[in-house]
Amino acid sequence: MEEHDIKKELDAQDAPILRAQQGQVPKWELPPGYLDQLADRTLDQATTKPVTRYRHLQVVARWAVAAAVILAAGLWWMSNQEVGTVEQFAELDWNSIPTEDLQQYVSDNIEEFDLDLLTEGARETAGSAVVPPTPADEISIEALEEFLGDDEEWLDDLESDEWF
Amino acid sequence: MQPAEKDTQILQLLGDPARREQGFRLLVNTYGDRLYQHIRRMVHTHEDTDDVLQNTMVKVYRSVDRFRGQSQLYTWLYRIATNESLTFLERQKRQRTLFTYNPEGSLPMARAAEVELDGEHIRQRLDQAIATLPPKQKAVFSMRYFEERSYQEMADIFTTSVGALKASYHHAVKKIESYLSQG
Repeated sequence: MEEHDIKKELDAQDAPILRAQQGQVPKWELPPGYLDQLADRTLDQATTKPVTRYRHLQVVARWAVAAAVILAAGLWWMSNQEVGTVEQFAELDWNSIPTEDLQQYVSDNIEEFDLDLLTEGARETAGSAVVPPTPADEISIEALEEFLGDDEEWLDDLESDEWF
Repeated sequence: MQPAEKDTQILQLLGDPARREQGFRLLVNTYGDRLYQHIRRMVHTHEDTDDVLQNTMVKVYRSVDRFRGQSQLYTWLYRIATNESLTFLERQKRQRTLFTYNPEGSLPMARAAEVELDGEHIRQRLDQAIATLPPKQKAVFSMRYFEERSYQEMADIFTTSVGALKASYHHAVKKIESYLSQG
């Protein structure tokens, strides 16, 4: 009945090749004794699985122990490294460093822009050793006019609305 | 002995710890061939079929205590075998995304030697055509075309609707007929 339905279904689907071959396709031949061997292998596997799991756990445990040893060795190595502390830095004898070395360090490591910022900061700080403060009344009028007169043209470049 | 009586005998033996192995051997000898054919139509080579069938049987052996008899024994066995085959094909697909894969090229080269008889030739051509189907369509086509299962039985095995199975089978028939008509 079902086979008949299948053939009718294939007719309805306009599948003449499949319709002609339905029921004619040979089965695969099993190797001799295959099912008995399959039963043996299955029973072996089904009963030895817990051992496999135990062995798997053993492997995982070994890796875990190895990782813990490596981690402990790494922590020990790091804890024995000499690292400078804030106190050691504060105790540094700055006077023992030659001035030339300090200037060389500044020229090598601080850009001009940074130097300007440092200079401005020093001007605002009373008693700064970098640039001593200059009282305004000690600057002569002539000196100021000469200074401003050199770059007077820059005022003309600015638009009036930029001031407001 | 009627199939239902044989199933009852198998289940009684499996339920007895002293005769469990005997019951399992009877189950393998009763259903092993049919499950082999079903799995092989999905995974195509003997080696892969052997692996999938063994995994299926291990699962059957370990979970047979949970079989409540709400469905027929073969329905339960086919469900496990189909799921194992689909899992295998999915894993195979993931592995093959890492490499170049030609579905027809994956069929064993030795099969060329089988084109001696008409029946063998038909089987080989059908096998090549089925290899082009998506995994679930393979399973549906195999069950309907070769096993001649009703849609209701298949719905029990696949735990899906009859309508979905009819649509899937229809698509599979169209693709395979088209493939066969080209060569």
